[in-house]
Formats: sequence, structure tokens, C-alpha cells
Amino acid sequence: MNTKEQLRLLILAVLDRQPEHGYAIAQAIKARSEGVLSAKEGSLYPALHLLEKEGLVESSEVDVKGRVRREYRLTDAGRTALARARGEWQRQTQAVGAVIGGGL
Amino acid sequence: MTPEHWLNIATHGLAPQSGERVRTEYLAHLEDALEAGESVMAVLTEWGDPHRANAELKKAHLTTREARYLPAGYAPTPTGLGKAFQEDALILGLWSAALIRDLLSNDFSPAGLGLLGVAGLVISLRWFFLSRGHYSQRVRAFIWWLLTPLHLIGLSFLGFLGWYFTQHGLQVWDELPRGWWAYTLLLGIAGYYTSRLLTALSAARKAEARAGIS
Repeated sequence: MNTKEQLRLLILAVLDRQPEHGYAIAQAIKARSEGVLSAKEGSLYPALHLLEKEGLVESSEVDVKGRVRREYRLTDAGRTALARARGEWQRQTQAVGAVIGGGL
Repeated sequence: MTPEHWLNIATHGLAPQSGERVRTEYLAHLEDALEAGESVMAVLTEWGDPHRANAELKKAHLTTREARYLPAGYAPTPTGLGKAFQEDALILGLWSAALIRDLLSNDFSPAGLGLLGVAGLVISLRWFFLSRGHYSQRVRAFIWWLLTPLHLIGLSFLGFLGWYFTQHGLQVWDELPRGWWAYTLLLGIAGYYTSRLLTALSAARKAEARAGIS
């Protein structure tokens, strides 16, 4: 799984909990990874827009504290893709853990 | 670099509607970040290289180049038909001028006039189909690509070569003009028309995806 695929997985996982707008997604990724992960290189919105183009997320403009924000939410296809990506990620981490050892 | 400069680079080449949406989202992000106590510099660092963002955004959004390949369609009126003919005015004008020249030099060919009539028919068919709104963007893009006289001339040329090849086999290469340029020209024509079709279909896919977004 390359960096772009990892970011897609992170976005889908954040949206699996609840619909969010762009900044909140970026913050959630940072907070949940305790600052280790972040959506760098301006890649968050291109990734979000590609996920939307593929029908894995959908968006609409909502009012957040008097401001208009584009909120993203998972579609059914997005949930299926997330389940598949989670399985793939677990398979990879187990495989890497088995090779490098050290109690992983 | 200012956020405005960053956004100008990141949205460069995007169709106006796409560029505006991207700009709005990034500015909303900036506003939220500043309110949370982050500095403009920190946000720009997080956004990263605007050229890279631009390349990624072009994969998801319609570009100005692609937008040119999306037929807007025509009104089902004489004005709409006139607009369709106007789009091919250059080739029709050159063709008509050649026919008039041949007529004046007593070398008139009815086949030439017939082909001009076929071109007019093709343009009329394009107007007919694209003035009806019940086709998907992809079908409309394909109709526009197929029913454009210049495209049909190129396709007919390639079709003729294909037919000639099946009739005469590899011997055809001996009859073609010698030199690499002939093959380069053939490949160039085929590549040009294929790329135009692929760009039109890619643009249609993006437009269809965008149409499903509220």
C-alpha cells in the first residue's frame, strides 16, 4: 500500500465514524495518530475529490457555526472499499511483522 | 508565498467551476486553521507544493482543455443549426473555395460537391442529436467526436488505408511514399484522433461525476 492509498484509507476511516469537512478530517488524522500522520503536500483535497469522483464519498455544503463548509460522508461503495482496504492493511502489517519480528 | 499565490498555482488550468470549488474549500480550511491558532506559514507548509497539488487536482477535476471537448449542445432551432455550421465554417469555406476554383477552371468534380453535401449532412446530424437532451455526457462527447467533418476525413483516410491493406497485404507499404515521414504522419493522424476521443470521454466522465454532486 503506497502513501496515496494509505491517505485514502485514513480518510475513509475518519468518515466511517461521522461526516466531516476537510479541516476536521485533517485534524482527526493528526489527533488519532498522535501527530505521527498528516495529510501533507496539499494532498487531502485532491484525495477527497478523487474519492468523490469514484463514488466512495459524497459531499454537500452545510452550515457550520454560521459558515458554509463542504461536508463529506461515506457512501455504501465507500464502506465496502474501506472494509477491503482494512483487510489489505492488516494482511500487510501482519506480513511485515512476521518478517521483522520484535513482538509486532 | 501567500495563500492567494499558492491557490493560483494549485488551480491553474482547472475549469472555472472546479477552480472556484477548490479555492473555496482551501480558503475555508485556512480560515478554520487560523481560528484554531495556526499561522499562515504553518498552513502553507502543510499544503505543500502547489504544483504537485495542481497535478493531483487535475486528475479529479475538469480542466479548461477538457472542457473544450464537452459539447454544450445546440438549441433545437434554426439558430442552433446555424451555430453547428458556424463551428465548421473554416473547413466548409475552404472546401467551397476549392470547388469554385475548380468550376472557374472548368475542372469541376461532382464528387467534390457530393462530399460537401455529406459534410453538411454530418453537421446537421450533429445538431440533431446534440439538440436533444436525453443522452449521457459520454454519448454526447462521442457523437460530437464522430460527427465532426474534420474527424470524419481523418477516420475515412485511416479506414481507406485499412481497406487497402486488407486488399493488397504488405504490398501496400511498397506503394506508400518512401521515407519515415509517411509512417510518422499516419501514426500522428491516428494518435491525434484517438487522443481527442479519449480526452472527450475523460472529460465526460468527470462531468458526469460532478453532476452527481450536490
